[in-house]
Amino acid sequence: MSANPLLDRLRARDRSAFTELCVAQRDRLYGIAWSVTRDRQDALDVLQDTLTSAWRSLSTLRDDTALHAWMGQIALNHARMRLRTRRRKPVEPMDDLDALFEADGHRRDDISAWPERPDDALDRARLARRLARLADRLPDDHRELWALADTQHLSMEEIAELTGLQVANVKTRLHRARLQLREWLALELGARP
Amino acid sequence: MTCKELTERVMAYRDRELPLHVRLSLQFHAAICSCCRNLLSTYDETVAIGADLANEEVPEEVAQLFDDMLARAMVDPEKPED
Repeated sequence: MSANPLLDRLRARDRSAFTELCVAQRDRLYGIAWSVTRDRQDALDVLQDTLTSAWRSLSTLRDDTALHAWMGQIALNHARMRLRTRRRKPVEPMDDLDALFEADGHRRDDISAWPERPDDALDRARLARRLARLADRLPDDHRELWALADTQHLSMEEIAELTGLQVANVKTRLHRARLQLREWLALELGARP
Repeated sequence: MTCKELTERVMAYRDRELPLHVRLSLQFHAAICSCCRNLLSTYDETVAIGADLANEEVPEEVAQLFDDMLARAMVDPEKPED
Protein backbone atom coordinates (compact mmCIF):
# COMPACT_ATOMS: atom_id res chain seq x y z
CA MET A 1 0.00 0.00 0.00
CA SER A 2 1.30 3.45 -0.88
CA ALA A 3 0.37 6.74 0.73
CA ASN A 4 -1.57 7.59 -2.41
CA PRO A 5 -4.65 5.37 -2.79
CA LEU A 6 -5.03 6.43 -6.43
CA LEU A 7 -1.58 4.98 -7.17
CA ASP A 8 -2.57 1.63 -5.67
CA ARG A 9 -5.75 1.54 -7.75
CA LEU A 10 -3.82 2.44 -10.89
CA ARG A 11 -1.25 -0.28 -10.32
CA ALA A 12 -4.16 -2.70 -9.92
CA ARG A 13 -5.31 -1.51 -13.37
CA ASP A 14 -8.52 -0.10 -11.98
CA ARG A 15 -10.34 1.38 -14.98
CA SER A 16 -12.25 3.96 -12.98
CA ALA A 17 -9.02 5.18 -11.36
CA PHE A 18 -7.36 5.49 -14.77
CA THR A 19 -10.40 7.29 -16.14
CA GLU A 20 -10.36 9.65 -13.15
CA LEU A 21 -6.68 10.43 -13.70
CA CYS A 22 -7.04 10.96 -17.44
CA VAL A 23 -10.16 13.10 -17.25
CA ALA A 24 -8.42 15.38 -14.74
CA GLN A 25 -5.43 15.68 -17.08
CA ARG A 26 -7.32 15.85 -20.38
CA ASP A 27 -7.00 19.53 -21.23
CA ARG A 28 -3.43 19.77 -19.97
CA LEU A 29 -2.32 16.77 -22.02
CA TYR A 30 -4.06 18.10 -25.10
CA GLY A 31 -2.43 21.48 -24.47
CA ILE A 32 1.03 19.93 -24.34
CA ALA A 33 0.36 17.94 -27.50
CA TRP A 34 -1.14 20.87 -29.37
CA SER A 35 1.52 23.37 -28.35
CA VAL A 36 4.32 21.09 -29.59
CA THR A 37 2.67 19.80 -32.78
CA ARG A 38 0.51 22.86 -33.52
CA ASP A 39 -1.83 20.63 -35.45
CA ARG A 40 -5.24 19.60 -34.18
CA GLN A 41 -5.26 16.10 -35.68
CA ASP A 42 -1.70 15.42 -34.57
CA ALA A 43 -2.59 16.60 -31.08
CA LEU A 44 -5.58 14.25 -30.97
CA ASP A 45 -3.38 11.37 -32.15
CA VAL A 46 -0.80 12.25 -29.50
CA LEU A 47 -3.53 12.28 -26.87
CA GLN A 48 -4.66 8.80 -27.94
CA ASP A 49 -1.08 7.50 -27.95
CA THR A 50 -0.51 9.04 -24.52
CA LEU A 51 -3.53 7.32 -22.99
CA THR A 52 -2.57 4.01 -24.58
CA SER A 53 1.05 4.22 -23.40
CA ALA A 54 0.02 5.29 -19.92
CA TRP A 55 -2.41 2.36 -19.56
CA ARG A 56 0.29 -0.05 -20.69
CA SER A 57 2.85 1.43 -18.30
CA LEU A 58 0.78 1.41 -15.11
CA SER A 59 2.91 -1.36 -13.65
CA THR A 60 5.96 0.94 -13.77
CA LEU A 61 4.41 3.44 -11.35
CA ARG A 62 6.40 3.85 -8.17
CA ASP A 63 5.30 5.16 -4.79
CA ASP A 64 7.02 8.47 -5.52
CA THR A 65 5.74 8.90 -9.07
CA ALA A 66 4.19 12.32 -9.57
CA LEU A 67 1.25 11.31 -11.71
CA HIS A 68 0.70 14.52 -13.58
CA ALA A 69 4.39 14.84 -14.44
CA TRP A 70 4.45 11.19 -15.51
CA MET A 71 1.54 11.66 -17.90
CA GLY A 72 2.91 14.96 -19.16
CA GLN A 73 6.25 13.34 -20.00
CA ILE A 74 4.47 10.60 -21.96
CA ALA A 75 2.51 13.23 -23.89
CA LEU A 76 5.61 15.30 -24.59
CA ASN A 77 7.53 12.28 -25.87
CA HIS A 78 4.70 11.30 -28.21
CA ALA A 79 4.38 14.90 -29.41
CA ARG A 80 8.11 15.03 -30.15
CA MET A 81 7.91 11.77 -32.09
CA ARG A 82 4.94 13.06 -34.06
CA LEU A 83 6.79 16.24 -34.90
CA ARG A 84 9.82 14.30 -36.10
CA THR A 85 7.72 12.33 -38.57
CA ARG A 86 6.23 15.51 -39.99
CA ARG A 87 8.12 17.72 -42.35
CA ARG A 88 8.59 21.10 -40.70
CA LYS A 89 9.73 24.37 -42.12
CA PRO A 90 13.50 24.59 -42.14
CA VAL A 91 14.93 25.79 -38.87
CA GLU A 92 16.81 29.07 -39.11
CA PRO A 93 19.97 29.79 -37.20
CA MET A 94 19.34 32.04 -34.23
CA ASP A 95 21.05 35.40 -34.17
CA ASP A 96 24.42 35.64 -32.51
CA LEU A 97 23.48 37.85 -29.57
CA ASP A 98 27.04 39.09 -29.14
CA ALA A 99 26.98 40.48 -32.67
CA LEU A 100 24.13 42.84 -31.70
CA PHE A 101 26.38 44.76 -29.31
CA GLU A 102 29.50 46.89 -29.46
CA ALA A 103 32.51 45.79 -27.46
CA ASP A 104 31.43 48.12 -24.64
CA GLY A 105 28.06 46.37 -24.38
CA HIS A 106 25.95 49.02 -26.06
CA ARG A 107 23.52 48.00 -28.74
CA ARG A 108 24.76 48.57 -32.31
CA ASP A 109 21.32 49.35 -33.80
CA ASP A 110 18.27 51.11 -32.46
CA ILE A 111 15.17 49.25 -31.38
CA SER A 112 11.92 50.97 -32.22
CA ALA A 113 8.61 50.69 -30.42
CA TRP A 114 5.89 48.59 -32.07
CA PRO A 115 2.47 49.72 -33.15
CA GLU A 116 -0.18 49.17 -30.46
CA ARG A 117 -1.53 45.65 -30.32
CA PRO A 118 -4.94 45.44 -32.02
CA ASP A 119 -8.04 45.42 -29.81
CA ASP A 120 -10.01 43.33 -32.24
CA ALA A 121 -9.93 39.63 -31.32
CA LEU A 122 -9.58 38.49 -34.94
CA ASP A 123 -6.62 40.79 -35.57
CA ARG A 124 -5.02 39.62 -32.36
CA ALA A 125 -5.50 35.99 -33.35
CA ARG A 126 -3.93 36.77 -36.73
CA LEU A 127 -0.93 38.34 -35.03
CA ALA A 128 -0.62 35.36 -32.70
CA ARG A 129 -0.61 32.99 -35.69
CA ARG A 130 2.18 35.03 -37.27
CA LEU A 131 4.17 34.55 -34.10
CA ALA A 132 3.45 30.82 -34.16
CA ARG A 133 4.73 30.62 -37.75
CA LEU A 134 7.89 32.42 -36.71
CA ALA A 135 8.29 30.02 -33.80
CA ASP A 136 8.38 27.16 -36.33
CA ARG A 137 11.73 28.57 -37.43
CA LEU A 138 13.24 28.10 -33.98
CA PRO A 139 15.29 25.00 -33.17
CA ASP A 140 12.97 22.31 -31.77
CA ASP A 141 14.20 22.51 -28.18
CA HIS A 142 13.77 26.30 -28.01
CA ARG A 143 10.41 26.19 -29.76
CA GLU A 144 9.15 23.51 -27.38
CA LEU A 145 10.10 25.49 -24.29
CA TRP A 146 8.53 28.64 -25.71
CA ALA A 147 5.32 26.76 -26.54
CA LEU A 148 5.03 25.18 -23.10
CA ALA A 149 5.81 28.40 -21.26
CA ASP A 150 4.20 31.14 -23.31
CA THR A 151 1.24 29.39 -24.89
CA GLN A 152 0.47 26.80 -22.18
CA HIS A 153 1.61 28.87 -19.21
CA LEU A 154 3.41 25.99 -17.56
CA SER A 155 5.74 27.08 -14.77
CA MET A 156 9.50 26.81 -15.18
CA GLU A 157 9.47 24.01 -12.61
CA GLU A 158 6.76 22.08 -14.49
CA ILE A 159 8.67 22.44 -17.75
CA ALA A 160 11.87 21.31 -16.09
CA GLU A 161 10.02 18.27 -14.75
CA LEU A 162 8.61 17.46 -18.19
CA THR A 163 11.81 17.95 -20.16
CA GLY A 164 14.38 16.76 -17.66
CA LEU A 165 16.25 20.07 -17.94
CA GLN A 166 17.45 22.12 -15.00
CA VAL A 167 15.19 25.10 -14.25
CA ALA A 168 18.10 27.45 -15.00
CA ASN A 169 18.52 25.89 -18.45
CA VAL A 170 14.81 26.19 -19.14
CA LYS A 171 14.94 29.88 -18.30
CA THR A 172 18.05 30.53 -20.38
CA ARG A 173 16.65 28.83 -23.48
CA LEU A 174 13.20 30.35 -23.08
CA HIS A 175 14.70 33.81 -22.79
CA ARG A 176 16.81 33.17 -25.89
CA ALA A 177 13.72 31.97 -27.81
CA ARG A 178 11.73 35.04 -26.79
CA LEU A 179 14.53 37.38 -27.79
CA GLN A 180 14.77 35.71 -31.19
CA LEU A 181 11.01 35.78 -31.73
CA ARG A 182 10.98 39.44 -30.75
CA GLU A 183 13.63 40.21 -33.36
CA TRP A 184 11.84 38.28 -36.11
CA LEU A 185 8.47 39.74 -35.21
CA ALA A 186 9.91 43.26 -35.24
CA LEU A 187 11.12 42.66 -38.80
CA GLU A 188 7.69 41.35 -39.80
CA LEU A 189 6.00 44.38 -38.29
CA GLY A 190 8.36 46.66 -40.18
CA ALA A 191 9.92 47.98 -36.98
CA ARG A 192 13.62 48.32 -36.35
CA PRO A 193 14.53 45.08 -34.55
CA MET B 1 24.60 48.43 -16.69
CA THR B 2 25.04 48.13 -20.47
CA CYS B 3 22.47 47.33 -23.16
CA LYS B 4 23.88 43.81 -23.39
CA GLU B 5 23.61 43.21 -19.65
CA LEU B 6 20.06 44.52 -19.68
CA THR B 7 19.17 42.26 -22.61
CA GLU B 8 20.49 39.25 -20.72
CA ARG B 9 18.40 40.15 -17.67
CA VAL B 10 15.02 41.04 -19.21
CA MET B 11 13.35 37.78 -18.27
CA ALA B 12 14.68 37.78 -14.72
CA TYR B 13 13.54 41.41 -14.43
CA ARG B 14 10.01 40.58 -15.60
CA ASP B 15 9.91 37.64 -13.21
CA ARG B 16 11.12 39.83 -10.32
CA GLU B 17 14.09 37.59 -9.72
CA LEU B 18 16.78 40.28 -9.69
CA PRO B 19 18.30 41.59 -6.48
CA LEU B 20 17.16 45.11 -5.69
CA HIS B 21 20.42 46.83 -6.66
CA VAL B 22 20.46 45.09 -10.07
CA ARG B 23 16.79 45.91 -10.58
CA LEU B 24 17.43 49.57 -9.84
CA SER B 25 20.46 49.60 -12.08
CA LEU B 26 18.40 48.12 -14.91
CA GLN B 27 15.63 50.66 -14.39
CA PHE B 28 18.15 53.49 -14.40
CA HIS B 29 19.65 52.26 -17.67
CA ALA B 30 16.19 51.92 -19.23
CA ALA B 31 15.34 55.46 -18.13
CA ILE B 32 18.21 56.88 -20.15
CA CYS B 33 18.23 54.41 -23.09
CA SER B 34 15.22 54.46 -25.43
CA CYS B 35 16.55 51.40 -27.21
CA CYS B 36 16.35 49.32 -24.03
CA ARG B 37 12.98 50.81 -23.06
CA ASN B 38 11.69 49.62 -26.42
CA LEU B 39 13.32 46.24 -25.89
CA LEU B 40 11.48 45.86 -22.57
CA SER B 41 8.12 46.83 -24.04
CA THR B 42 8.46 44.71 -27.19
CA TYR B 43 9.69 41.71 -25.17
CA ASP B 44 6.51 42.04 -23.09
CA GLU B 45 4.48 42.29 -26.30
CA THR B 46 6.06 39.13 -27.66
CA VAL B 47 5.09 37.23 -24.52
CA ALA B 48 1.57 38.69 -24.58
CA ILE B 49 1.04 37.75 -28.23
CA GLY B 50 2.14 34.20 -27.44
CA ALA B 51 -0.43 34.09 -24.64
CA ASP B 52 -3.16 34.79 -27.20
CA LEU B 53 -2.35 31.43 -28.79
CA ALA B 54 -3.51 29.67 -25.64
CA ASN B 55 -7.07 30.70 -26.42
CA GLU B 56 -7.13 28.55 -29.55
CA GLU B 57 -6.65 25.26 -27.72
CA VAL B 58 -8.89 22.42 -26.54
CA PRO B 59 -11.54 22.11 -29.18
CA GLU B 60 -14.95 20.67 -28.33
CA GLU B 61 -14.11 17.46 -30.13
CA VAL B 62 -11.51 16.58 -27.49
CA ALA B 63 -14.25 16.25 -24.90
CA GLN B 64 -16.50 14.44 -27.37
CA LEU B 65 -13.83 11.94 -28.42
CA PHE B 66 -12.28 11.42 -25.03
CA ASP B 67 -14.48 8.54 -23.85
CA ASP B 68 -13.72 6.61 -27.04
CA MET B 69 -10.03 7.36 -26.69
CA LEU B 70 -10.05 6.03 -23.16
CA ALA B 71 -11.90 2.90 -24.21
CA ARG B 72 -9.35 2.28 -26.98
CA ALA B 73 -6.49 2.85 -24.56
CA MET B 74 -7.69 0.50 -21.86
CA VAL B 75 -7.09 -2.68 -23.79
CA ASP B 76 -4.79 -5.02 -21.93
CA PRO B 77 -1.99 -6.23 -24.20
CA GLU B 78 -2.17 -9.70 -22.73
CA LYS B 79 -5.90 -9.84 -23.39
CA PRO B 80 -6.29 -8.52 -26.94
CA GLU B 81 -9.78 -7.91 -28.19
CA ASP B 82 -11.15 -10.33 -30.77
